[in-house]
Amino acid sequence: MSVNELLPLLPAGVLVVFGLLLLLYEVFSNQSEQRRYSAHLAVLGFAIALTVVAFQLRDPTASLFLGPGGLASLVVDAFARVAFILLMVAGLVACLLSPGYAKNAGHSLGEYYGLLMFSVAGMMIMVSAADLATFFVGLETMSVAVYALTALRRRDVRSTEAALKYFLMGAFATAFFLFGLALVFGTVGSLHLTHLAEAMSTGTTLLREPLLHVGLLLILVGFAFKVAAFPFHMWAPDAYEGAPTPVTGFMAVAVKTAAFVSLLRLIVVGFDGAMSSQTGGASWTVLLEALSISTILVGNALALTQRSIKRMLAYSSVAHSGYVFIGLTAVAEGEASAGAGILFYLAAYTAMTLGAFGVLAYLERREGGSEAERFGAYAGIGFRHPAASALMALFVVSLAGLPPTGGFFGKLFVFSAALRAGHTGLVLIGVLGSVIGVYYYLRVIVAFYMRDVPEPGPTPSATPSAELGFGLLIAAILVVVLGVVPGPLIELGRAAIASLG
Amino acid sequence: MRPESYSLLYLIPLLPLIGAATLTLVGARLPKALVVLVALGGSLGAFAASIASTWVFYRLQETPLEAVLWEWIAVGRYTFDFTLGFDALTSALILVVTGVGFLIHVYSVGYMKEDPGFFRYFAYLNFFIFAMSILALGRSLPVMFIGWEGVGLASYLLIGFWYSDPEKALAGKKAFIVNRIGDFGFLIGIFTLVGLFGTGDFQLLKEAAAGLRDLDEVLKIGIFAGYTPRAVITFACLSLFVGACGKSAQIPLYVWLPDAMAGPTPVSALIHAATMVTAGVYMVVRLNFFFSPSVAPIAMHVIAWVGGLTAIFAASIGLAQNDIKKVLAYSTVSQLGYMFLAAGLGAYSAAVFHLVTHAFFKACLFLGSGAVIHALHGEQDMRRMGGLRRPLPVVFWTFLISTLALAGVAPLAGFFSKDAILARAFDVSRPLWMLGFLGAGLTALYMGRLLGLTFFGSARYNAAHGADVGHGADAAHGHGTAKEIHLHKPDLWMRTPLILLGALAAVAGLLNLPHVFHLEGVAGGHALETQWFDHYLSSVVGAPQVLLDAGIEWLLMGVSVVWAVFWLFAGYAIYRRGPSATLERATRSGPARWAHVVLREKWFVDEVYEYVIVIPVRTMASFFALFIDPFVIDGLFVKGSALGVRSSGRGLSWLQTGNIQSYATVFVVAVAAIILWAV
Repeated sequence: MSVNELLPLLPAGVLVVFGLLLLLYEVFSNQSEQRRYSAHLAVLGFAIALTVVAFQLRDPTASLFLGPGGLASLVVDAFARVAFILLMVAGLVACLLSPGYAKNAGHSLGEYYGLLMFSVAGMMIMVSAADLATFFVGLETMSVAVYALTALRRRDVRSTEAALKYFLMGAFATAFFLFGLALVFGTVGSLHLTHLAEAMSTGTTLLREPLLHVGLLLILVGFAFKVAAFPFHMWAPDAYEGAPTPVTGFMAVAVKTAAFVSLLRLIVVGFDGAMSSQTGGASWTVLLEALSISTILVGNALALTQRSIKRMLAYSSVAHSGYVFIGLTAVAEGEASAGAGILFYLAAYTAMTLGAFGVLAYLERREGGSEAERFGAYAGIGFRHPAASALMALFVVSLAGLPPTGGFFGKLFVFSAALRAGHTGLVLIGVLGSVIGVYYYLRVIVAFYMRDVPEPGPTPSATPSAELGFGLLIAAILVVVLGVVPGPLIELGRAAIASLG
Repeated sequence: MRPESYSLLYLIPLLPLIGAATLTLVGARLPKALVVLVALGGSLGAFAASIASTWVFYRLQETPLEAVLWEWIAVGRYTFDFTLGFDALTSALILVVTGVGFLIHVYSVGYMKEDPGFFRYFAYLNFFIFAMSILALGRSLPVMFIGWEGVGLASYLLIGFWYSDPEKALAGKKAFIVNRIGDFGFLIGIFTLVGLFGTGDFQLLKEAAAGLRDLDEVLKIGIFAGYTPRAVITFACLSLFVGACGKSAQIPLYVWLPDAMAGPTPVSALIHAATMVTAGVYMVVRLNFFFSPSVAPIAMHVIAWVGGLTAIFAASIGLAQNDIKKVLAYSTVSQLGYMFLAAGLGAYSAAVFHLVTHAFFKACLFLGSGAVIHALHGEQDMRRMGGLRRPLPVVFWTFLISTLALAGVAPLAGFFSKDAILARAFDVSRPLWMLGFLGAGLTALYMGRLLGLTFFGSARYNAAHGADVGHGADAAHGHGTAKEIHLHKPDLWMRTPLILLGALAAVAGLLNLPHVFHLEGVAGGHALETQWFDHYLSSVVGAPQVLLDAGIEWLLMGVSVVWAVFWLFAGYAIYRRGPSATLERATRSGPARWAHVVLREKWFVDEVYEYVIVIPVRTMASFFALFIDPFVIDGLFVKGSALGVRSSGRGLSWLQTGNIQSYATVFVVAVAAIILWAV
């Protein structure tokens, strides 16, 4: 195998190299004055990697690390590359949002950015893995890095608690996932998606093997845990609340995107897009349907009762997982356009969620309050921080799914694909959930603009960091552009789904 | 003809959009000169881009141009691209919009220079040019609809520009609400056409319309199964026409336009006279392959009759108004009626021609009235004007030219355009011609009256000032009350557009001489070029028709001119010395009094709407607000369901103990349940 053959993995390589560089930089720069450049270094790394992907976007599908039978462990196709872009944009924006926050919280650490880059590299392995063992390696690379990120504020009790909970539950879920892998391997004799697809195709006796189903279900549980779907979501609010706010944003979007995209590949390639009828007792669509309905209802109901904006956003991100599951249900029934819709949804979700958490990180810092601030603490903030509040308004409007924002088209594409697959009831639930969502998202705007300020709040002292402003700007532009010119991205999404074959 | 790709079309909307965005974001901090530069740059740039596009269009032997900007929405089997198109019809409208728009920008610099909202005003104005060019350039119904809503928004913002005055804010609201009714119809129309043909693109719709084999064959599939295509198209046309009635102020939705005069006068000139209000006419002509006597005859009858009735009805109200802008507003409604009359009769190019000439002379009239109001420190009541001919010569002469043009005196622009409409009406339907002809007389009469009251006689503005007569809509713009009025003479910014528009009002008729002018040997041995505009538009609306016999046409023209001059002079003669005492006495009792009251109170239409629609709706709303809403909606649905959601949320929160052991337990139980269910 020559070096040239590794070129498709160059973006991940760039990230790893920069991650290592950051660790070295951390060791050799002992003054915090110097350390502030670590964020810039990380952003540079992401920018270079993104440029590389952009150049490779139209390249043919590359199969790497061929195993027995000529089957590749990693497949870098258009689908994987689109996912690379989503993940790296999330990483880049998260890096931009962090420095100001980190400085205030007293943990401006180089390893923070290193960990972030390692986790994105892991995600990139996940989304391009063609075999579940390779996938598992990516999954763990990502997970370990994110556990550490959550625990970053090690002197803060809540942060440590959140990290420990996340880690314990994660280990728990990983065990289930691994057990599922073992069962599948035991019945099919391989963990490669192609073999899985062969085994799943009609008429195989394997299908009557209950252990295969149990194995697959356990794998699904592993995914459901990572995307915080009901009833495997319980870690999410605690972890989201305790983690440093930019990390929360990153966890909420990148981890989810990686998990959903690889699940999409698993369903389309591994199950050949058709798993409703032949799987005997376990109809996957019914299961996915149940997951999405319960996740939407529970996520929204819980978000509604929250008093802290951060926790509300955490629960609402659970609800968003439910909407994506609607799309997955349609994909499972062979409706390919739902796949493009999911990619679009994830892109819009990345932009708007990171943006919302970014504004929150900024306001927490500026107002000097604690992180679990209630809505009331933000009364009248729209007049003290007009720019940040206007952006927040944009992001929550998009999260609520109102036009002309990316969130609207994300929902539109996913829901219309599900309608085409005949899931009217599911879409109704989705719309109902969105209506509940409008209520609690608009509460943010109400708090920001329409509540009287009890007393004149502290006047802002520092100017916002340029990095943060830049990061929020990127997110805002993405939200608006996706809401006005959705065509190119959905086109890209279609091409990506088509590359899965 | 396959359209030629010309991507620079996007500059036409983009430049004013940049202007609007710049002014909105940083306008407050810019010095006035820079605001002017940005605003004029945006509108002049759009005008230049329109000229360039027209030139390219002309050089390519009038091949339509298009610019596909992006794929906009793709849902199911429907795909909507964001496409701009440019053909003969577009070029006519866009040149008027950006050209007249630019002149009015120039005028506004002088008119608004002391207003504290200077930058905000120009931000809105640039935004309007942007939205209007989207409306004109949009190559499909959905894109057009964006412009349609955009100009509505700009109109609302500018009517209520002086929003601290509740009356003006209310006028903005009224315009908005009445237009919502129209827009609802417009949307229904769009949905119907998209539902029937699967596309909103004008080019594809036109091809689809041409491909319909039998209009009266009942459809068997699709959402309109059971109806004939003709019925569906007629329904769509009527729905779209409801939208046109709202935007273009036709019966019964015209009521917002007179109130819209609350906005600054240049806005009335641009939006509520020259451009936006003609959007409905443009839309009907744009869709002439549906709005056609052979496809949807019923809809066409409705349009022609609504147009004709509006023409005469609004003109009659214009007779008895004392506010100078209100007279012009009713005149606009009436002239728009003429355009619909023409469109309804299938005389599309006559409708567009009248649209163009009307834009020139009516914009000039409004700007002139603005100059008068400006000179008199916000006075709008014509009874307190008079004698302005000498102190404001430029205003007077341009106003006079435009008045003659509006009244239809040869050889000014309005004569040719109105005559084209009346000739067609005479040929097709005598009753409609009668309406138009009587309307023309009324038009000349109220314009004569306006001219006499404003510019002739003695100056009444000094004496009467301070008396409680009328409420100047531009009063906020005034500069306090002085006993002896010092006239504010228009500056160069204001005079230049007046002169240019006056000149256009005088000569624009040459664009489309009637065919009877096709005389050999007049112009240096060649025949005069006639019906140039008709031929120019023929690629969109079909070849021009010559229907009337030359002799009859000469006769009609002669009669119209005499008719117009007679009534114009009558109006002038009665009112040149100020409000006529004789008339006042005559209208003090008997039927004349009633006629006067009815006209002055605008046929009580606003009152009728108030009692028939507004009050019942409000009563119903109160009923719902007092009984249904708190108990059923709020109590049962909202609070009930909220309680349900909330308590289920609380219940679930109870599970959310923060205790990791319980999380793990839930996890395991869930996995077990799933496996048990599945296997």
